[in-house]
Formats: sequence, structure tokens, C-alpha cells
Amino acid sequence: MILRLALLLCPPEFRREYADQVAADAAESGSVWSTAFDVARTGIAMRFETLGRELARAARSLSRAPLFSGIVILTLALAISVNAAVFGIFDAVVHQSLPVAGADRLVLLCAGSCQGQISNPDIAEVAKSARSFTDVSAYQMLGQTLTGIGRPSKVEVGVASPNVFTGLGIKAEVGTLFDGGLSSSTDDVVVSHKFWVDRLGEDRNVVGRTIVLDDTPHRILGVAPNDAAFPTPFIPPTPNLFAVWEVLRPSTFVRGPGAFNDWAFARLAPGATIASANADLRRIVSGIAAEHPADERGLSIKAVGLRQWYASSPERTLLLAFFAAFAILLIACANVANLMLARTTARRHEYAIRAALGAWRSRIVGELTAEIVVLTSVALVLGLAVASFELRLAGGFGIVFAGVRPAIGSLAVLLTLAAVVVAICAGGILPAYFSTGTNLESTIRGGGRGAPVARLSFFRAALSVAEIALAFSVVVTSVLLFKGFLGYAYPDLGANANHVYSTEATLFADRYKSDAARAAFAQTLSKQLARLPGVVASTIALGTPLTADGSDGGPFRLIDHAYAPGKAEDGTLSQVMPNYFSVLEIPLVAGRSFAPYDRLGSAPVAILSHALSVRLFHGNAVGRRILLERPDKSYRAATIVGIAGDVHPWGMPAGDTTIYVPFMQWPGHIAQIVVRAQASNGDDGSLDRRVGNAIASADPREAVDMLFSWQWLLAARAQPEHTGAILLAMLAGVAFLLALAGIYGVVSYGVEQRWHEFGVRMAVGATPGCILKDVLGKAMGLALLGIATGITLTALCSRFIASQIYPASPFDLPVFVVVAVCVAATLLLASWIPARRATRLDPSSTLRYE
Amino acid sequence: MPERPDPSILLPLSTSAFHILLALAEGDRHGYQISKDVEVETDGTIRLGAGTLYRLLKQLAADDWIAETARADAEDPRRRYYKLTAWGRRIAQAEAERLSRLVRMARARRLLPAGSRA
Repeated sequence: MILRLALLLCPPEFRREYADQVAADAAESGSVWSTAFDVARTGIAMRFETLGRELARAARSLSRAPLFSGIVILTLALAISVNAAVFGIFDAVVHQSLPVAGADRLVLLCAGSCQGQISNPDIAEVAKSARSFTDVSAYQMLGQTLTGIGRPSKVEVGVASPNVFTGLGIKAEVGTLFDGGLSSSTDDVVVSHKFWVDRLGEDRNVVGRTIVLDDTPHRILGVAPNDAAFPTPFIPPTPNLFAVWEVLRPSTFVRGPGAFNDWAFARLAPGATIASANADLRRIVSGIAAEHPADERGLSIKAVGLRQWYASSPERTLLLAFFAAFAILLIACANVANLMLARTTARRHEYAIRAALGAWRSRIVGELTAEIVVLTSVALVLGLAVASFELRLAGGFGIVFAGVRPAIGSLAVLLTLAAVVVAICAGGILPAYFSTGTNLESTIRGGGRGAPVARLSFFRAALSVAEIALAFSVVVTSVLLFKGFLGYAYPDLGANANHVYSTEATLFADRYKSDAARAAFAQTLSKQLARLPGVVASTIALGTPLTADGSDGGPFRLIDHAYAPGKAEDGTLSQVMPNYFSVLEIPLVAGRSFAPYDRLGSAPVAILSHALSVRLFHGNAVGRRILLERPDKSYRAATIVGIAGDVHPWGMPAGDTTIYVPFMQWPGHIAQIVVRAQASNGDDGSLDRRVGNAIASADPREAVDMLFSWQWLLAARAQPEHTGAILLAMLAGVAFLLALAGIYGVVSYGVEQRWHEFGVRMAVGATPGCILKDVLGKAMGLALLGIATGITLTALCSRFIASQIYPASPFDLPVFVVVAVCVAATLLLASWIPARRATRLDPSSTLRYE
Repeated sequence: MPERPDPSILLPLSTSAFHILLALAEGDRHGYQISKDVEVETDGTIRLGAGTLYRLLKQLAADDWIAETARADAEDPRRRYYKLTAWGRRIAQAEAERLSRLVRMARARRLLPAGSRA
């Protein structure tokens, strides 16, 4: 038995010849084990010798076919480099270093649908009774007014639990941070590195200095380090985030839905896992729900590993990139398989004779395999080099994935090797097996033509159809996803966001007691803004397509309609100045815009969005009246004077329910200042300063918030998907070109193989038109079959497309048509060019063509 | 028969190959007999395991230094006998002459006592 196993290691011809004698020897010597050991050792040595000989022979044979070898190596290297690059990115994302110490034991606690946030009392409860966690910490962002340093300004304040720095393992750059103990006072603040640099001039004696937030003095305890990136994956509300960390105040405890404002983190206790932590959380949650049935019904809290949380967004695009890269590999394999088939077809006569002389089919397949192994090895080295170059190039352009610069690591190399095995099997061994399994006798008798050729051409046609289908579905899917991404990154807001900046001023009730006072402020500010240099147009509003929150109301009632007390229709109120529509380029569909005479005391007017006017009044809304809910819950009738084009906040496709009212009739408690800057206006902060000056001249007590660009806001939202989408588009491009080149090669080769047949047919009187028609008809058939298969494949992928974060339509006729036309055109060209050449040649020369 | 080159270009032989040729010079042998002979002749310093032996035999047969005989073993039909070919004999002779020249040189330089067995 052991001897038989040892013999299996030997080459088959050795085994056949000597197995009996070895067995006899072993029986006679009585030392089966030592015999088996020696046989095994020799067997392995012989195998390596054979392998070396085969590879050397393959390399020699390939060097005689430089064009074939070159094309195969380039094709495979391209596919391998693409795969290695995607694997490299994957590697980097999986192993990325998070900006937090001990990130692997950190979890994010989130409530409900897990948008990341959780309510304050729930965290307190978790901190108190969870056994799976140490260091439960939380913070939330609040906008506060900073006074005492320059002009009053808005700052983002992270209101945090005292242990937030110790819990996340962050050390002070200057002074001290909250230490989590009782010594932390609610009057202490820690300033962010950026705040320290921008506002405090990097003063190292800053500890003990006092700053005033919302009229309350606070003592600076220290400066958080530059990389104290709190794990907030949300989009910062302003490009310049000033964070002042303050101890959590008990007064901010709010319970129930809508109170999910906190980012909460916890460190897993020794021995705890995410699963055990979640079980622990379920126990706590059921306790909370039982105690507060009214507020906390349906509460759920989940622990998500911080690393997993960070990776989840790029993972989705990466998954797509994986698919695309794999599809490229398959397409490349199909191309190589076709080239291999062409090569073996050309040499089939030689193989047939060798087989007739007793060469084993496995031996011929082995030779072909050696060839593909040599080619793939060269392609692997080349591909890895190209991949690291690609990634360096991407890094040079500042393309980073989830904040990491990808490089080719060990995991990437390992995964690439797996891809190479696929390439060797699909591109080499399979076609070698198919092409040598032909009927030898007929091959020799047919002078290398006949039945086997028919079988091979069927195999090639099947490969072409598969390649067309694969390329079609990859390209169509990628293009649809990319279109979806573009729609997400550059949404149709229904308004023009180009060069639009906005900021807001809060009109505090203690300073602006009456509607008239707020209206007067808006009036003065409008005049100041209109005078600003570098500003094309400006307006004031409350509730714009990108700053919809903060609006003062929305519910309304229809006249002549009975409502139960407290019931009303849902709408979105937007208080705007008369020039709002022209500044944001929102078209007026009917009626008029607001005018300066629509002010306090004049007849209340409103403008409806087009979708709302269609829903309520079948589009004939002008002149009708609706009842709008006032802040004091009373209703006031307003006459509809116009219909505005629909806006889509953040590109939401849902029907617009905006009801516009004149800001001067409904002066809001917040005035959002919207300016359209000149295109030449740089981001040098001068516009910021000028708008700040305008606000200060309208009311010097008013805190000035950061001015932020609408284009920046949209870009920041799409940022996590940006690199992935571009990567996907590039992969789709590569896949498409590779597939078109492959299809062209296969089909034109197939037509060239028929030159002999064309010669015969033309010799017996067929016209060139006849032959072209036949060839093009076959190509069309292939194209249709391939595209039909591709459409089926795409339909299967569409479920996946629909599950993506940005909405992408799974069916888009223009995209389908363009890709299908490209594929069909390539096929027709690939058939037409060689067929035409054949028909122009003298039949006698095509007859001789082999 | 192809034109044979001067066997000296094939020298020196590997120890195992030369011992196999030596064993077969005495008469036809089957594989196990060869390895036993070699073991006895070298006082057990060279032992040819089955794998090594048959790999060498295969190679030697392919190069036409040895050949299989038609003789069948009465005890064990699996046994096959090998003989030295004329070409193999010439090579073995050439190697033996080479070695004896070396021995003569060693004697002349008093590395070996004159007349002693090598």
C-alpha cells in the first residue's frame, strides 16, 4: 500500500515499467518502508526534472511565436494587474489603521436603523449595566456662539462624556484633557488642534485662558492632538470644524425617539465579543423598554465593530470592483483561450501525428499547460509591477480609499495567485483539453480540416458568445452604477447650486421679539448683501434644497375640507425673499413670484411647488387659497399666487411638497443667507469675511457661522463613494476594450479559417456579395445571441444594483443600446474585413490558404 | 547502429552507474541482484534503493548502455534481467582504464604503497 502511494509520485511511464520489479524487490528485501521512501524521493526528483524540461521546452517553443506570446502576456498582465490593484485596495481597507488606539476592541453603539447615533439616557443606562463594556463614552455636536475672540462666531461644540478621551485613548498635545474622573468640571473645555492654531495662534500658554460660549465663560484645559479624529463618519457640517470639547451636562438628557444625537463608543471588556456584547445589549434594551414603555417602545441598540463600521461603505463599492476585476480576468481568459485554440488548431496536424505515434493526450495537454504556465508567470511578474505602479499613480493623484493608500501586500499577492490559477485553468488547460480531444484519424485524413475544425469552431463560437455576454453585462452594470453615482454626486436639485454659498444667522427671541424686528433685520441685511463685491446675487430664506432643516413649519389645511382636531396635510414651509427663485434659478411654472409689496400687513400669499399644486388642485392652483399653520398652531389663509418648479433636496426624487411664503410675511427665527459668487471667486476666505461684515453691519451682536459651498456639501456627501465609482468606471473601460479586442480577434480568426471554403465557393461561382452576406449573417447571429445572454445576465445583476446606496436605475435603454451597438459593430467589422480580403483575392490563392 | 563517439567524452561516470555496469559485467542480473551485488562489493558503503536503482537502469537502458534480456525468472515472473551492451562494456572499460591510470599516478606519488590493492 505504502509502496503503491510512493509509486504514484513517480512519472507514469516509470510506474508502468518498474512498479512490478520494485514490488518484487521490496518483497525480497523485506524492507518495504525504506524502499517506499527511496521510490518517493526519486519520484519527486524525476517530476521536478520533467517539469524543468517541460518549462524550458515551452519557453523555447513560445520564443518562436513572439506575437502570440506577447499578446497573451499583455492580456493576462493587464487582467492580473487590475485584480492585484483591487486586491491591494481591499487589503488596505481591511488592514487600515484607524485613527484610534486599540480600534479592534472599540465598538460603535447605535440605536434603531443604525445611522450611528443613540440617545443620551440610553447610553447612561448601557454604561451603568453593561457587563461586556469598559469605557462607554459619548459626545454630540452642538452649534454654539463663541464671543471674546474676534467677531462673534459659531463653533461646533462636541458635548462629551468626561471619559471620551481616555475611552478613545487620546492624549493631550498641550495641557490636559478630561481624565474621566470627577475632577472634570462642566466649565472646562478642550480645544481642537485646528481651533488652537486658527483662533488661539498656537499659544502654548493657553491653559487656563477663558473663552465664552453662549455667554458662559469656560476655562481651557488643554489642546487635543491633531489626529484626534473622533470616529465620526458623518459629513462635517462645515469645511472648517472647530471643536471644543465640553463635559456632558445632565441637562441635555432627553429620552425617546428623536433624541438620537450622540455618537457613543465602548471598549469591549476582556473576554467579550461583539456577539456577547449584543446579547448583553438586548438584555439592557428590554429593561429600558419595560421601564419607559411610552418613549422607548421598539428601541434597539446594536454594537458594531469600529473597523467594520468604517469599512462598510467602501466595502460595497469594493465588492463591485471585485466582480468587475474578476469579469476582466474571465474576459482575458476567454481571449487567451481563443488564442490557444487558434494555436493548437494551427498545429493540430502535428498533434494528430504525434498521437498516432503513441503520444498520450495527457502529454500534449501537459505541454500546452507548460506553455500557459510560462506565459502566466511572466504576466504575473509584469502584472504585479504594473499594479503597484497603478496604485502609486492613484496615490499620486490623491486617490485614497477610506483614508488609506493601498499597496500590494501579501494578501493581495495571495489573492492574485488564486486569480492566476483561474487564468491557467480557464485560459490554458481547458482549451488544450478540448482542442486535442479531436478524432485523430479524420484530422490526418482531412489534411487538418473537417470534423474537428467544426467542433473547434463551435467551441470558439460558444466562447465568443460567453465573452460578449460577460462584457455586455459588466459594462452595462458598471455604466448604470456610474450613472447612479453621478446622479448622487451631482444631483438635480431643481435649483442651480453652482458657486452658491450659504450661512445662517440666528435671530434670538430675546433680541428680536417681534415679526417686525426680524423682518427689519432681513431687509437691512438684504441691502448690505446686495452691495457686496464678488457676489452675483444674494437672497435670504429659511428652508433651501440643501438646508431644508430648520424650517419653521409645514402643516397646512385645505379650505372646504373637514379635519379632525390636530390633523393637517404635510408640507414643507419655505420662507423666502422675493428674489429667491431668480437667485437659485428655480423656474416659475405659473403665476407670479413674490414682490416687495408682499410684506407684513399685506394680504398673505403663497407659492406652491408644481408637484403639490398637481396633487391638490390638478395644477390649477393660482388664485386658490390654503390654510397655513402658524407657530402658535392657529391657521392663516393664504392666496396662491404662483407655482414654482419642483426642487429635490439632496436630489431626492420624491414629490416636492414645498409651500413658499414671503420671508417678510413669515420672518423666520433663522435667516439663511444664500449668495451666488462670481465664478472667479477663489476659496480664499475673502467672501467669508465680506458676508461676515455684511451680517455684522446689519447687527453687530449676530454670531457669524462658516460660509459653506453647496458644491462642497454635495461633493463631501459623495466622497466615500467617489474613488470606488471612478475605479469601477475604469474597470468597466478596461473590460470593454479587452472584450472588444478579444471578440475582434476570435471572429476575424474564425473567418480567416474559412478562406479555403470561400475559395472553393467562389471557384464554383459564388459572388463576393453572397459570401459577405453569409459571414455577416453569422456574425449578427453571434452578436444577437451574446447580447441576449448579456441582457439576461444584467437582469440578474440588477437586483444587486438596486441594493446600492445611491439609486441606480436597473434598466436604461440608451446605455443598453450604445453598448449593444458597439459589440455588434465590432463583430461585423471583424467578419467583414477578412471576408472582404478573401473575396478580393484570386480564388486560386485562397484555395491554397491553410 | 549509430556511429559511436569516443567513450572518453562520457567519463567520469557516476559511482552508482559504474557499479551497476560492474555488476552486469559479471553476467545478467535482475534489479535486486544488482543492488545486492553493489552492496556486497562496496562493503555496504553504497546501497542503491529501489527508486534510485530503477531510475538509473531506465536512464542507462535509454542510452543503450544496458539492455533487457529475454530471460524469465522461474521463481518470480515479475523479475526482469539486464545485460551489458557492447557499447556499455566499452564505456565501463574506458572508465576502468581511467581509474587505473589514476591509481598508477597515485602510486608514482607514493600516495599508495607499490603493489598494494587499491
